[in-house]
Amino acid sequence: MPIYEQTYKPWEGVLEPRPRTWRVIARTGIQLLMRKGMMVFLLFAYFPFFFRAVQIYVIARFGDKLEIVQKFKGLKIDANFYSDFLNGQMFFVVLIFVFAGAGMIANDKRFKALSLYFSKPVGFWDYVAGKFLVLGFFVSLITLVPGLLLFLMRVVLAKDSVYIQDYFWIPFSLFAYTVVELLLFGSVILVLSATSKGTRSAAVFFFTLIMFPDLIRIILSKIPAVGLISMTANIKQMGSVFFGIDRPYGFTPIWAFLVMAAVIALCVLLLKQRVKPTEVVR
Amino acid sequence: MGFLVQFFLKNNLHSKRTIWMAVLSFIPVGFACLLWLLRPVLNREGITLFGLYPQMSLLFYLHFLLPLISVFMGTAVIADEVDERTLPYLLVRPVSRRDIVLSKIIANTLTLGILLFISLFLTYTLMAIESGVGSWGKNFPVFLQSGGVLCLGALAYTPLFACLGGIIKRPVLVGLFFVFGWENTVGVFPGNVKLMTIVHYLHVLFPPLQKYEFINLVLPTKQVSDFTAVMILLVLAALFTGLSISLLYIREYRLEQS
Amino acid sequence: MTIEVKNLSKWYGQVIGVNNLTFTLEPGVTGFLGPNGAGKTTLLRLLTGQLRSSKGTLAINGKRIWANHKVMQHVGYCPEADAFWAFLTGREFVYSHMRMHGFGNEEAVRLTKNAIEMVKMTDAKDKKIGGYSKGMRQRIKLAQAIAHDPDVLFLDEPLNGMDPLGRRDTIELVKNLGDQGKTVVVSSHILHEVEEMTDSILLINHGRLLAEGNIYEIRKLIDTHPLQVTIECDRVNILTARLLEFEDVQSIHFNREKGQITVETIQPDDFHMRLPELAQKLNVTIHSLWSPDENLEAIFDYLVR
Repeated sequence: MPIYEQTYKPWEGVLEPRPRTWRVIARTGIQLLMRKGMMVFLLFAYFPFFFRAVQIYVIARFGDKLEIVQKFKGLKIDANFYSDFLNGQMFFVVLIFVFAGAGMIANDKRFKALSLYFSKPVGFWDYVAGKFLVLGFFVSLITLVPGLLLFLMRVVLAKDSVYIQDYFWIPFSLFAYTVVELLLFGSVILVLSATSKGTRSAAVFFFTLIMFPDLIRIILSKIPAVGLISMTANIKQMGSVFFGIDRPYGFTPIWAFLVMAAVIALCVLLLKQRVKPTEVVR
Repeated sequence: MGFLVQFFLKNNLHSKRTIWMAVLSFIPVGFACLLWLLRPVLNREGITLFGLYPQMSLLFYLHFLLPLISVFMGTAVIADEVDERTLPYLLVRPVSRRDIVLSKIIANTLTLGILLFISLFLTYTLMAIESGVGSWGKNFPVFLQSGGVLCLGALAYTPLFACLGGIIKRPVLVGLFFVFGWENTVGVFPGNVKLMTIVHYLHVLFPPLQKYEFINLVLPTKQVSDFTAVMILLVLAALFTGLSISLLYIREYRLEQS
Repeated sequence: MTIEVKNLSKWYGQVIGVNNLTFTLEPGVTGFLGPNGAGKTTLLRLLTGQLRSSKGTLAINGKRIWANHKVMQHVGYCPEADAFWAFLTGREFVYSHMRMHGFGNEEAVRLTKNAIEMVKMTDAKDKKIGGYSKGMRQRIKLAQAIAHDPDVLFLDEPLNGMDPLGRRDTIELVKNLGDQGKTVVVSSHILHEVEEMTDSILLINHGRLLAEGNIYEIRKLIDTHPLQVTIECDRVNILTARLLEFEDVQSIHFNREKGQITVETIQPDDFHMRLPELAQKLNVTIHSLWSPDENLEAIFDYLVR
């Protein structure tokens, strides 16, 4: 029997030509957050889904017999239903970004892990994509996934194929809304996480950036253009385009799109500045 | 205990967190300055500056700044000393745990109250002075009332979140959920459910507002008297302060080892 | 002041921090020794009232420690963690501690001045702690621990980050405090530092007490492990041959070139008594004699590894 030397053995495998490090970063991030109790929070975020599911069941089963359904359009399971559901989930989405996103880069900076990341074959886009995927995973769990489940439930409970013929595009709208929400909120929270000294300050500023402009919009509601400063208003305005419903605010969706694109571009620029393996202290 | 309160107040003054909270609490002042500059545009739309003051004080201060900053100041009562690893210095001194917690709560409440009061005063001044000094003086009781309610709110919220910070691992998240989820949602339910919020009692004490179309909030009709609201807030403050104190006698805090 | 610990255990879920410790600490300096993760810091935190015991009792002069702030009147603590309220200067830091301790303004100023002089930080006392070097921060931590002249002093890794001069000064200070009749507990994993401060140790590993007492007494008790004695002499072969006849000699290594013999004996006292007589008889000149074993490192090695 051969006797093997018990010293360091160099690895004889073959390296991937283009390692998909963003997958590793995403997977690790998701596992860490699950360990921190994310599932408990997600359970709370599913309460609106359960109410909506009951609504679908009642409407699908008894809709044509109930006068109230004919009277109140708000009870119908149409494009407005899905748009309202996603708008209602926005509060939980913000909390997810606070819980999951505020410490994402701040903790890496605090524990000086950025230099470790970038000493491996991890590029800036790999790192950022991995972080976005973590956020995207959890946001989809409370927006896209329940939205699709509600749609599926309605389709399954429908008596004929009219519903799916009329609303086959709903899943795409759900997807588009989720992507817009993720890109906008995600880039802002990651920038705040990369620039703040700690998780708590990133969370405070994120909350402020979400709520404060919205309050200004409410106070100055007589001037519709003021709504452009509110991230939530911009998302809802774009959402109305995706779902083909009446615009909730008085400014055009093109402007909403341009403002969001500008914010995302600025955030990416700032991220490029702040996410570096070393910091030069002058 | 007097020295401890002074010490923690000084700590707050030098703390980066307080500086950021101060910046946050002065955002409405910045906004008021902007509105001051945009007076001609606003007047064209039929909006006067002082006409916006009630919504600003209600939405910016009562519904946003007060709960947000108290979540962070309240949860930091013990969490700060644990995170900074300075808790051993306090525990290994002949200072009772009651005094430590009470001093921190007092210092954090005072810091929060003073920040909001000064910010509200500046906002009020900028908005009231448009109509002249006479208007500023005439409406000063409105400012005092809203400022007083904010201070009472700080007194009620800070110990609540101090208690939360001592019990659960992610107090900030739960705190935010409570103030922006529970309190905002339940507040519009009919019936007595809203009595299970702190903001309801603060609403009762806030200066009366005219109902504006663009505020979808319908301020609740008074279910309790002003005196009852004040007493309930004070009792809640005392109750949560007592709970926070007892937590430090029961719980132990394991610090990160360097 | 006496510190009494009886059947003390502390566990965190499934992990045992300290396991059934019983000992008494009298005035003087005692070293808590053990590798990293042995339970020394947990034990210190229990003794300073930061943690509550899961089982057993601890008391300072008969008074319980947990949530008993009055007993802290006589206690000084220098934590291992490099943690401060960074906005304070060194002087303000010590002064704040004295005010928290209950001293009035004038008394606190006086005590602060004395303590800062004792740790030789007078020149830097008005600089912000954030700008101190590691050694300076360690000194100022020590200053707040000793300023109020406590009867019991707990020092967790007090020499961390100190330069050689600082170490020497601190070791002298600790020895003086012990000589003054204070009960001083020094926790460290650096053996030679503890050896310089005290002979009295508590050896801890995996939360258990391995040994307690004087270093030399402990060494004597380790009769399963022979003591090594190294002899430098001439006529190495002759002495080696005769030493082999002794029953208590377990093994001998010799090096003719260096003129050294290293003997392992299970009866070191007898060996030391017989050796001079034997050397005289054989006309062997012994140039030097030492025991590489009779130190903390060796004891540690035997008991821990």
